[in-house]
Formats: sequence, structure tokens, C-alpha cells
Amino acid sequence: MRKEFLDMKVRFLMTLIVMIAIFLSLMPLKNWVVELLEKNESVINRYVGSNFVKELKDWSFYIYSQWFGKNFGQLVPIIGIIFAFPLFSREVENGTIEFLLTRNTRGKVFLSKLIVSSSLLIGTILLLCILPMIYTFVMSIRFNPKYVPILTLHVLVGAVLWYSITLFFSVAFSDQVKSILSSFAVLAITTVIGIVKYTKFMNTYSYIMGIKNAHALGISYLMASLFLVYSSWVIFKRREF
Amino acid sequence: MILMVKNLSKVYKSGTGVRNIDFSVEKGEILAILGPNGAGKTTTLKCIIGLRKPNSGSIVLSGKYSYLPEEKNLYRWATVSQMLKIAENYTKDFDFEKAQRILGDLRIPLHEKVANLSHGQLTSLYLSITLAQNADLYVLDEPTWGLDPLSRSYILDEIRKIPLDEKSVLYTSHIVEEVEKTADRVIILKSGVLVEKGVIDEIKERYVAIRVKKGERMRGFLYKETDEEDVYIVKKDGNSGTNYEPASFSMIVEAMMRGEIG
Repeated sequence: MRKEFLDMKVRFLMTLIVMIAIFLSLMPLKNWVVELLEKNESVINRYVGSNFVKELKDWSFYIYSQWFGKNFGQLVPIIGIIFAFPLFSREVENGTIEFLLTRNTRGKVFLSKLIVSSSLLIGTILLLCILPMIYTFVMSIRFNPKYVPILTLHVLVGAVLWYSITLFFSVAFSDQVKSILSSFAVLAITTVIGIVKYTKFMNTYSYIMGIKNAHALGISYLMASLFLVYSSWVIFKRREF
Repeated sequence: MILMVKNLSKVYKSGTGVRNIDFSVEKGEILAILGPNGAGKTTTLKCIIGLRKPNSGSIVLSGKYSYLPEEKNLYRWATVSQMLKIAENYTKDFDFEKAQRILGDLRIPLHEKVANLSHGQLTSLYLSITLAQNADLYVLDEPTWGLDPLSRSYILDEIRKIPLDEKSVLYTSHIVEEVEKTADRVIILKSGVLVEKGVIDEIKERYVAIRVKKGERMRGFLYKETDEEDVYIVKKDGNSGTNYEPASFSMIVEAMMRGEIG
């Protein structure tokens, strides 16, 4: 498992650094954003709503809308994809899969990769979810954490779903480019299809960035994730190298 | 017996692969698989260790194996020292000190990154990891390919020592002289078919070189032509009355690789 961690170290740290940098650059911009929007209040009122600028002055609303509802929320599927795309495809592409499979059973190789990468993903997502609470506490800013638990749940489920989709491609393909491109293609297609009312469930963003109780959808996403992880295992078990 | 392979067939969509291969490896024996590129040597080894699934046939491996692949790919981001630690973590019964000793003897720097190693050094590192694993059967695919003469000699010595502990070696090579010095028995593959097997001296007994007048045709492989005579490699059976001389192992293998002999 040490090797798996070393393998993921750069991706994990880079993701964490980039996301923390985005968060830290977002927070001091609050007053500037509000001022900018106030200057154009008439336009904002017409298109976004009359209370938006007023509400944005509130730290809680700013964090929920700009962090969970925008910057972090939009990147959740991409974080899931980044953590999963090279897991198996890179080993096959670089020929190192033979080193692993001739020293351990396929089950152990699959599990060690799954455990390390999913633990780091969940850890990263949790940290990014509680980041606003840590920041507001340190900076003595009033923040109502009422929606943090539900958003954390949604974000986690979304990240796990995209991680599982990419894991499947990573096992199925022998090169990293195919696995990452396939995942992004699925993300783009499902988001576009999700615009239609009857296939709204395909747009995972509305779930990831939403605060409505959507347990049925969340459970469906989790079931789909489990199915994808199991399918990945079946392909890995049967695949020739 | 440590390995028994019966009627092994593995055919790819392209039509290449191996067909009806039969052989066994005894305890304390070195068995070499000889053959040109594309003969099916690597496919045979990969089927034995489970990386490829045979279409038919049976493989019985009684014990642990240690494998050196044809492509010596290791983690390029790691240093040699880190690579040994990774191997130790991933491998049961790994002798870390033995791996370090082999690397020291082959003068591979421990602090060097795997990405910076030459092909020969990478092969040496992979060999040190493979040989440091305590196994009953060492499956080595082209173990000396890309090594300098000193390293090759050192590695062949290490391979020859393996049977002293009642352990076995199954290895592939296309260097006939090397196989002749190292292996107890050989099997020869050509285009996925086993064309000859046995103890090297016995194989040498089965074939002879016959000199005939220039232009005189006979059933066998025309190995060499001179101004006055032709030299054929033929099976000894059925040529008892002919004037023949012993053929070297490399002549026999070359004849098998290049054309039919019989």
C-alpha cells in the first residue's frame, strides 16, 4: 500500500494545494465581488434576482453559493476523475502491471489500489468541505454551518460516482489518455442530457451542488458506483496482460 | 516435478501464439526455451504464470514462482533503493540483502532513479529483485538481453547456482551458446510449435552434418554452400549409411529456425 500512496502522492498534494489556493483566493474577494455587483445592481436584479447582492453580503450565503455552489462544487467530478484515471491504465501502459500481478493476487492488487485511492479521495473531499468552517473560525467570521452536512453528503456521493466511472475506464483501457478522455466525455454528455426535464437525474451537478433532500437520487448514484466498482473488478479479474 | 505443461494452446486473433505445447520442469533443473522472435516463448511463460489465459491444455505448477518479464518495466519515479523497498513490500519471502548484494556486484547505484538507468542496468535491477525472491521455480524471460559481457557472465553464474538448492529455472533465450552452457534441457519453438525437446547432448546425437557434392540434393536443411560441396543438417535416422560428421548445437538450432530438417 506504501507504493500506492507514493504513486498518488503528487496527484493528491497537487489537488489539495490547487483547491486550497482557490478557496483562499475566493474568500478575500468577497467585498470586491459585492462592490462590483452593487455597481451593476440593476442588471443583476433583472437576471439573478433582487435579493442576490444583498444576500451575498452575508458570509454564509457567500460561502455556500461561491464555494459549494460554484468553485468547489463544479470541480468535484473532476477531482473524482483525477484520483482514478491512472490507477490501472498507467500500470498497463508502463508495463508495471506484470510486476504487481506476479507478486500478489489480483484481488490484493485491486483492493490495495481501491482502498488507498478512495481513502485519499474521501479525505480530500471531507477536508475541502470543512475548509469554510476552519477558515471562518480562524478569521472569527460568522458562518452558519447548517447546510454543510447535506452538502458534504452530496459532494461525497458525487465524487465517489465519478471516481467509480473513471475506475471502470481505467481498468478497461490500456492507456491513461483513453481513460481520462472517456470520463470527461461521459461527464459532458450526461450534463448536457441532464438539461432535459425527464433526464434531469443524469446531470450530477444539480445533485452535487444542491441542498434539496434527494436521498433516492443519492442512493441511486451510490448503487451505480457499487455496480461500477464491481464491474471493474470482474474485468480486472478476467483481463489478460 | 515442479511444472507440467500439457497440450498448451494459446492462439491470438492474428493467428500467432502457441499450439499443443508439452513439457515439464523437474526439481533442480534448468530448462531453456529457445526460439526466434515470435516463436511463442513469452506467450508460453505468460500462460504458465497466469497473465494470459490458455485456449486449451493444462498447466500444473507445484510451488511458488518468481518472474522476470521480457520488458523490464519498473517504477520510473522511484530510486533503485525505493524500488527494492517496494519489491520487499510486495513480495513474500524477499531477501533484501541478496538483492543489495547482486546490485552491489553489478555496480548499480542505489540512489539513482530508475528513469535514469540504462537498459542493461534496468535489467540488472529487475534480475536482482527476481532472484532475491525465494521461489521454487524461477521463470526468466530473456534474462541476459542487453547486459554487458561481465554482467551477463555474473547473471549466468547466479542462474546456474539456483539448482543447488533444489530449485528450478525455466528461461527463454535466443542466444544458443548461452543456453548450451547453462541449461540441462531445452525445448525449441518455431512459429508457436514445439519442434524439438530434450537434453542438449541427446539433441546433438539426433542430427548430423552431411557433406555432399555441389548440387546434389538431399532431404534436410542446406546449411552451407562452398564451391565444391554443400553441407546439409539432417536427422541421423535413415542416414546411417551416409558419410556424416557431428553437427554443433548452434548449427542444429539454426537449421531448425531457418527451415525444416528431417
